[in-house]
Amino acid sequence: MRTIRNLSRANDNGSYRTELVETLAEALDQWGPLLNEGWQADDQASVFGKNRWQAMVDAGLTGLTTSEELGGLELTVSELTDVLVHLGYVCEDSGLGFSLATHLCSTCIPIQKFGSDALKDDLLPKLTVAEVVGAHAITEPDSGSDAFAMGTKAVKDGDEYILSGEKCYISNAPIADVCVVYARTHPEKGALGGFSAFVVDCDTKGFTIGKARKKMGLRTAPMADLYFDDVRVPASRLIGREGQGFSILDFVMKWEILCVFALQVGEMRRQLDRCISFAKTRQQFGAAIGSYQAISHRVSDMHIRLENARNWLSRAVTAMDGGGQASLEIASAKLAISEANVANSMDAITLHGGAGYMIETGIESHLRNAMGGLIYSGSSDIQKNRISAMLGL
Amino acid sequence: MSYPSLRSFISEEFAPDIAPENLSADLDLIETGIVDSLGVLKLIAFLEGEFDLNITPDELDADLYRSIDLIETMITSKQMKVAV
Repeated sequence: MRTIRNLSRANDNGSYRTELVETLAEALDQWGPLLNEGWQADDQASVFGKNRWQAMVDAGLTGLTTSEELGGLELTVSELTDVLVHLGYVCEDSGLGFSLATHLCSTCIPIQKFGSDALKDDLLPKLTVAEVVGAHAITEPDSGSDAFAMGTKAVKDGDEYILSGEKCYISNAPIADVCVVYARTHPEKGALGGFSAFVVDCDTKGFTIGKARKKMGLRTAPMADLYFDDVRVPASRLIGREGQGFSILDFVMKWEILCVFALQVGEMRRQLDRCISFAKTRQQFGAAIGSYQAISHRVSDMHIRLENARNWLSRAVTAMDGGGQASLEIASAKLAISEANVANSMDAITLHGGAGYMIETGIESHLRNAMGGLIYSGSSDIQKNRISAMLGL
Repeated sequence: MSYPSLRSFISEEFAPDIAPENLSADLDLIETGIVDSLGVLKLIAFLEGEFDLNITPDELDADLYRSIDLIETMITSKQMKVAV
């Protein structure tokens, strides 16, 4: 099977590399069976699929964003999201895709963008081949949507920082080797200038990872809480400058939204294809159910929501590729895609009738997975706050 | 260089009690809490639209938006770069 890592980055002039993206998509088609093997059993047992993850690593997906000199493909935003849309279509294990997006966005992307040369040289080659797996820690028990009310502190002590506090609902935590931790370095400065981002080795003394949490959906993407009891972190593990946490987190959240919701657009397309196929073949009252308007109109609604989601993704990607902040477009895309995914997932269950309600068919898992999208990376309400603020309200 | 629309925007959006002409150019907008984290994003969206600028992730730095003086310096500097 073709390994993405071995592909050449032709046409390196900053323009979209159609041939490369098509080749990546063809490679993913080949890897599909391995990425899907046994996912439903793992989903039901809330187990991380080590073999499927290894297939993802072997395919080279963990190196999509790393620079070429450090072993990756350094895809642009538009190339990456197109590849992830295809991955979402091919890979039925949404939790696996979510773990990949977390790995890329939590550590690979911020270190590539803001890290020192030493930090890049040390970590990116290992992150690229997932010899080291990444997570990031933002949410705390008392600071969710109000992210910058976080209480985790990092106090400078010579050439080190001492971290104390706790984080919760951290995706990838049970499988992570390093975690990017956002902590308060200048309490008097508030959100702007008061926070910094650190790469912390998970085996550092005083750093404890809680037991895996059980979730409604994305069950194969493991999650746990983190505890920092005077954890000493070398100053060389600071990402960017001290106080740059706000800009790093804003950048990371934008990438996370694009990556995770690109996967969702692909998943929605697979779901719609399945619904159309079912509507054409399922016979009731002497005819295919798709011939009844109750079904065909539902499919039309799903199609429009999917296209709306795809268009918003494209608009956000174009805005990001343009080099600006794209805050309005990204918040709008996140809101539109996450809500469309939930609505389509409910329609998919209804359309399949009893089969849609059965765990064994895998149809209901879309809804369980989609619900998380209304919450993580900034809830729907927070996105509406951002959108209305950008509109001058 | 002075940009009257910037003063008007800050007054209207963040400090309705202060008339644009009474906004001190060196007033620390962040320290005083006039502009918070969401406010910085609003301010940047305004700067990108009003002055046709691209603010890069590296420039999402509180120190660049701390006062009207600093923001005006950044606008001028970015416009000069575009002109070159």
